Amino acid sequence: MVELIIWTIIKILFILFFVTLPLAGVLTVVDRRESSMIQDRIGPNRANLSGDVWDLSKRWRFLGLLHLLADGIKMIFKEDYSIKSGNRWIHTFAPILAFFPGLVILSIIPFGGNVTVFGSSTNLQIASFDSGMLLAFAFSSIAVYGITLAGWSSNNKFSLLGGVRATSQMLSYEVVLGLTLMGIFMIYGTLELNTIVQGQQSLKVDGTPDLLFGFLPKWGIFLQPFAMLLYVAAATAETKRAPFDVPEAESELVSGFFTEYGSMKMGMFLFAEYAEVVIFSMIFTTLFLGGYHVPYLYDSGFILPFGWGSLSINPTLVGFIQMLTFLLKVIIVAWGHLVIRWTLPRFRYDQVLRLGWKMLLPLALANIIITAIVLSFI
Amino acid sequence: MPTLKIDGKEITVESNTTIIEAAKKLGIDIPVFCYHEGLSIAANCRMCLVEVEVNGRKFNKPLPACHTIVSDGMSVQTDTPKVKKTREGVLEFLFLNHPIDCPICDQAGECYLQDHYMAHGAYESRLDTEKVKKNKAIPIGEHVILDSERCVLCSRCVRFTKEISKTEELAIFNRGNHSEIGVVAGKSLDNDYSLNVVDICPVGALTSRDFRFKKRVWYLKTTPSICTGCSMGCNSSIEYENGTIYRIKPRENRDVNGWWMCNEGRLLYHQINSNRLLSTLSKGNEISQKDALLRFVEIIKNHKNSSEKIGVVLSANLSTESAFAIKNLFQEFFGVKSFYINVKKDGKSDDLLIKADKNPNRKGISLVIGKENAEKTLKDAIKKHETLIFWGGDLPSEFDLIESDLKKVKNIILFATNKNILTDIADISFPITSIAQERGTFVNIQNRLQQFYPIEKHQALIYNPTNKGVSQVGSLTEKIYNPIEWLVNISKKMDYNYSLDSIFKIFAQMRKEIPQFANIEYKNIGLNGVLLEDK
Amino acid sequence: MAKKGIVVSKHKYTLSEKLYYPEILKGMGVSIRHFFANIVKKKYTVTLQYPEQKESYAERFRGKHRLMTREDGSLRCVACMMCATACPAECIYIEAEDVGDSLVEKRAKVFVIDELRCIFCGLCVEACPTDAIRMDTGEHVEPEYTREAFIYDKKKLLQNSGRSVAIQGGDPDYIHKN
Repeated sequence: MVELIIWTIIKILFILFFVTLPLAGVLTVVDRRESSMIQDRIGPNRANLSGDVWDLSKRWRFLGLLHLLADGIKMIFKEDYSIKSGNRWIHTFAPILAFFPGLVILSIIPFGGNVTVFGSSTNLQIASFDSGMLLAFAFSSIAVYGITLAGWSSNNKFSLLGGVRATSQMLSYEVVLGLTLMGIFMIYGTLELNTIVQGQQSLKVDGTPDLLFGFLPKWGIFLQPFAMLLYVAAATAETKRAPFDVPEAESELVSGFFTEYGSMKMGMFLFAEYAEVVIFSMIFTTLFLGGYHVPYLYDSGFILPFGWGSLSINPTLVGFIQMLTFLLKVIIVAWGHLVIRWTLPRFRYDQVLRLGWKMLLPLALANIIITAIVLSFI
Repeated sequence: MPTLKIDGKEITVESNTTIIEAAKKLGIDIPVFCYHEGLSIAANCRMCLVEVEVNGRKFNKPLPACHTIVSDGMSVQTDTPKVKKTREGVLEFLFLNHPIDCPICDQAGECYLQDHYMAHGAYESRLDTEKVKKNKAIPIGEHVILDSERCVLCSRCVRFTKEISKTEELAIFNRGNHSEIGVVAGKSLDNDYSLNVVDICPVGALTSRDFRFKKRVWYLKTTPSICTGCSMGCNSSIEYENGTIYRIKPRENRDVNGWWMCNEGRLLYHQINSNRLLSTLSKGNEISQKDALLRFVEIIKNHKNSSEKIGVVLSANLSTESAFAIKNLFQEFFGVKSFYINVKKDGKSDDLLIKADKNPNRKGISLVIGKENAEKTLKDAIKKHETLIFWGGDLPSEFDLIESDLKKVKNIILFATNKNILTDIADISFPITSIAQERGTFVNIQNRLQQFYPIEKHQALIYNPTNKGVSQVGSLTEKIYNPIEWLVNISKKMDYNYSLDSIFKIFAQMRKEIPQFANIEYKNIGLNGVLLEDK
Repeated sequence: MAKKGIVVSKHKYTLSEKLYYPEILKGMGVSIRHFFANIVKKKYTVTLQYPEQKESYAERFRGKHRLMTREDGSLRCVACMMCATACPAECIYIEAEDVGDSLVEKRAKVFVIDELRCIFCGLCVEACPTDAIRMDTGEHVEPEYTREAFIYDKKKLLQNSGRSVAIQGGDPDYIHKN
């Protein structure tokens, strides 16, 4: 029992303070620099530690990553004003409500295989619920309240519009989000994420790899490619990022629901957005990209397809390789997510809802039916 | 009375008229360098050559318009190709050795060479040898600088010293290319009219040392005025920019000063530009205008039953209108009967323009205050007055004699333009505008009524942002009024219904009260003035 | 009924456009191509690191004024006021003075340009007969804290000064013979 508690604490600290939050923080800077690279600019690169040095090449600038620090310091030391009209308590509470529910989802994500340290063995997953993904859906629904209340309590028409837009958009897409993943749940027969990950790359009873067409691992992306596309669209909408950033829509609504926010409260909204990107990437990796699995690497080592041979590796080492693989996959997916943002223009609001209800929803339903039919024949 | 045609226009002129005079009457402009109405004819510049035909017979060569007397049946052409070519040729010769240093030449902007070149020259230079170099920037007198290179040898200045000032300091030396104007050995150009040669010099050869590099002439605006130097009342033009006067030039009036003016009169503008009284003073200390006016009114009110104790002293520099308005107010409303005229000491004189009487308007003020008043001297009168009001602020000629008595006078009130010893003594000194800043008339020694006009922006204090300061006069805290405005202010403070608040109303009143003015309409005075009848 | 207006043919979407995803991927392909090209070699990047790197101006760019000097270091300006006269913004103020013992009799005692009023038309440079004023510094007027600081005096205008060798003045043998 003590062992379980210690492991849980270690895992929480690791996934929260060593993975998610730093990654979200770095993403805020990476987003800006990546956008500049895509747009043929240079981007923020001037925050430096060397003080008054004229020669740009001799300044310690760390690729502009210090802007993260500068932004943080700025956010913290800016005046934390509270609004005169509107509901001050809700106004203060809303960013917290928007930020923290997302983090709860981290508890169900398996970020590595089974590792054994000092004779104690554990799965690298904070909590293994049977309800699994449903928990994620539940808590991402709670995050809607933060946005809505922020928009409402600001007593600002732009904020309210942003809040209302966010509410209807997120509620609509939750339906789609759930339905798109139904195929995955049907195939792997569970809602529990670690089981899904293990199902994506497992050995048959006879010890040979369970592969699709003899060479493809049974990852979600290969089994449910259509659902993957729908899920990307729905999840992007769920994170309220471009092209689905109608709640912010700076060209229409100033800053949408957080127009009336400043200092670290606004910072929390921004940070929550990037945290959501990280969590989205983790779920996407878990469900579609084989989670922490390296292709053809099993607990005992590599087993290549077509009988090309095998390589046995220490299981604990495999556990760490899998953990790093997971992080790598998450980073790549998050990067891809940013690329989407800087490629696509914003949808009109009616287009967002039409896409959700009239296109993604029927397609998701169709996907479920087809999956069911196919499954019934196998 | 010959009748002739110039450029097809017919005109009948008196015999012995030159072509150029006849053309001037027709409004036809013939370019000249050496011709000047006030001087003898030299006809040496050849710029005014015109084609002449008499009774159908054409002269082979063009004739100088300034020197050719008209005859009956004459036909003159001033714009034929031949005339134009002649002018161009003359200009090319004149420009051969000219240094073209217009940037540093004070004459630029009013230079005949520039004007004629733009109108009649505009050729490419054909000179391919060195220009002849001559002396530059030589002071040839107290007021004049000579630049021989710029000279076109028109000999106007030589003729001026010979005929007008009769001092004969200048002459032309050397020959041909090397001819130049110079001062006769042992002399320098120091006569009292020497600055006139600067005016008549058509080019930049003779320039004024006083005006040297002060301002480019195209910035200057001109206002007709009257010289206040002496009782001759020479007609002058004040040339100014931004409220600062830069020079005074004579204005043609053949009945008074011809084309000339003395050096002293030209340099009088320094008094207007400097050492001005700019704020209200009490014994030399600055006080506010409002307080001073209240004190002044109080003094007058104290004399309600003893108005004979007030004496009003009018400077002979005041305009006739101001003097009349002052007299009117003090006599009608305050019951003052003692008016005096404050004159300057007599100075040197000659038989040309300079008069011994240095007061520009002594005659006018005498007319206003009456002969008996005008003959009283201040010295006799000073003891019986408790309050003396000086208008104009000139130092009285007998100041040395009356200084001790003056200090015993209870109240001395001064309306002055410039600071002097009186402003230190006076209980209250109010600043007033100078002659250049107001409109009015003078009566000169010939009994001629002449008027002067104010310069624009007559407060003379314009903030100049690029200069970070104020023009030469100084800085102002309160508005400076002219005498008539002061009278209006005073009468307002004392609740009098004083109606003479404009120069026209004053003049109309003067016509009623002073017989000499009876037949004179203000608008008829014009720029040349009118003679007053003796009555 | 007469036709009104013009008929615009609407773009017909191809299948891949209708499916949307292929087009998104194409777009992302462009983004990613630019991203990697720029991150590796700055292939498309045109940004200048401004205060350290500067775009050089055209040769005839009219910048801050400067006053030129003669070989002996004195100011070339003879205070002829041509620039002040030509100036449409009336931003030049000059006071002349007599040099006395010199080839050139006249010089500027005060030479002030109000750079706030200046419209950088270059007419003063064209008007100058002595090559004394130039606008070829290639620099902007620096920002200042007060309006007064924009009023450049002779000292400030001489900061970027250069020497001009255009011939000026009279013949030394003929000056001040007396």
